[in-house]
Amino acid sequence: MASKESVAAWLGAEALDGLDTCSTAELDELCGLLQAAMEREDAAVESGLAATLKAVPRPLRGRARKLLFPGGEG
Amino acid sequence: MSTLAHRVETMKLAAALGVAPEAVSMLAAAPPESIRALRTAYGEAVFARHESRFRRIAQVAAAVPAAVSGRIAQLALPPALAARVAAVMDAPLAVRLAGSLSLDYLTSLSVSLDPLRAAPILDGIDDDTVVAVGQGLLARGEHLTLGRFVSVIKPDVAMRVVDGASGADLIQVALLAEDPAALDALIERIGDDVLVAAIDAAHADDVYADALTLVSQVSAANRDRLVGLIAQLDAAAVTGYLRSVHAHDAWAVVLPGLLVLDDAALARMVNVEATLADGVLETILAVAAETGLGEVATRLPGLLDEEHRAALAG
Repeated sequence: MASKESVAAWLGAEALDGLDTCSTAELDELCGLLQAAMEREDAAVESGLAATLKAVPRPLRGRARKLLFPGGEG
Repeated sequence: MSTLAHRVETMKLAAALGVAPEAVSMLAAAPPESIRALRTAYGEAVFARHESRFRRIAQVAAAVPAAVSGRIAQLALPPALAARVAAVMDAPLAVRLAGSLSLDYLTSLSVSLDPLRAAPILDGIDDDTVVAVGQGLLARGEHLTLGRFVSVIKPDVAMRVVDGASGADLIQVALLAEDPAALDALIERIGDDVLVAAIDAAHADDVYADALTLVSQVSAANRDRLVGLIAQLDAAAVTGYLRSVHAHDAWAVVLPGLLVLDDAALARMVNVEATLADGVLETILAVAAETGLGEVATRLPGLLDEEHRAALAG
């Protein structure tokens, strides 16, 4: 169950006092929206990293791989 | 004016989350400044979550010639992601890179570009390109993006972007402007004929609240000018606006502008059907008293026609 404090903490914000007007069910719904939007961003970033590496011309790819995936996860 | 500001902030939050405005209806009772704070917090959270990844992509862009990075970006990066990467790049590199991107891609990218983070980049891009991108956004109906950008581009460039825009487009861009000062600078440069077309468009589309939001967001001088233009419309349009003012409890915003009108214009404006509705004239006088606009009480009754005097007395 979401609260205005948990929404603020999840976003790393100090406080979101104006969310007092929302019921717990509405805050749950809001959290769902925020989470879904964040997941879309996550997916776009991850696929963007991989696609960037693929798009780099082969002679430069080794260096690009080191920059994009410093931990070697790519 | 909370209802109007609320409407605008709801649209902006929905766009940031990639959903329709109805999807954030759970915030119907939240103050607009809280919705704005939520949008800002979400934007910061997304950025912070992936900033290191954006920087890594930016490093790759810096490691290859601009033309190659431009090709890579257009092949591999969705424009929304490219916009976030641009925000962490050194401005000179980002400007060089922008020069190698197609106008279409650049336009798509700018939809997700944070204008504040990107301000140094926008400063470096030549005005003709900024205008071309802005006009591309206009053609795509990206009013929200343009509303953000008029706050960070030079007023003269903003004017070139909206030059030739339809009245409906113009009012949408204006009401979504992020910064009231930029909005004022734009309104000051727009001729009366174009503003009348914008106000007319709101009348034709029955979206009086849009024009009213515009009136509420500009400086006193521009507000007076806009109210003066509304006063010149026909009675049906004026009544539409005044109904919207009453419905949004926005008399405090509009009354100072009405007082600038001469008696003939003020009489034409108040003697319309909208002010015959129960309690409207009483509300006007009450709001005038609350807001220290005593002149309304001295001028208005003498300008009312017989039917309106009866409505006030009744």
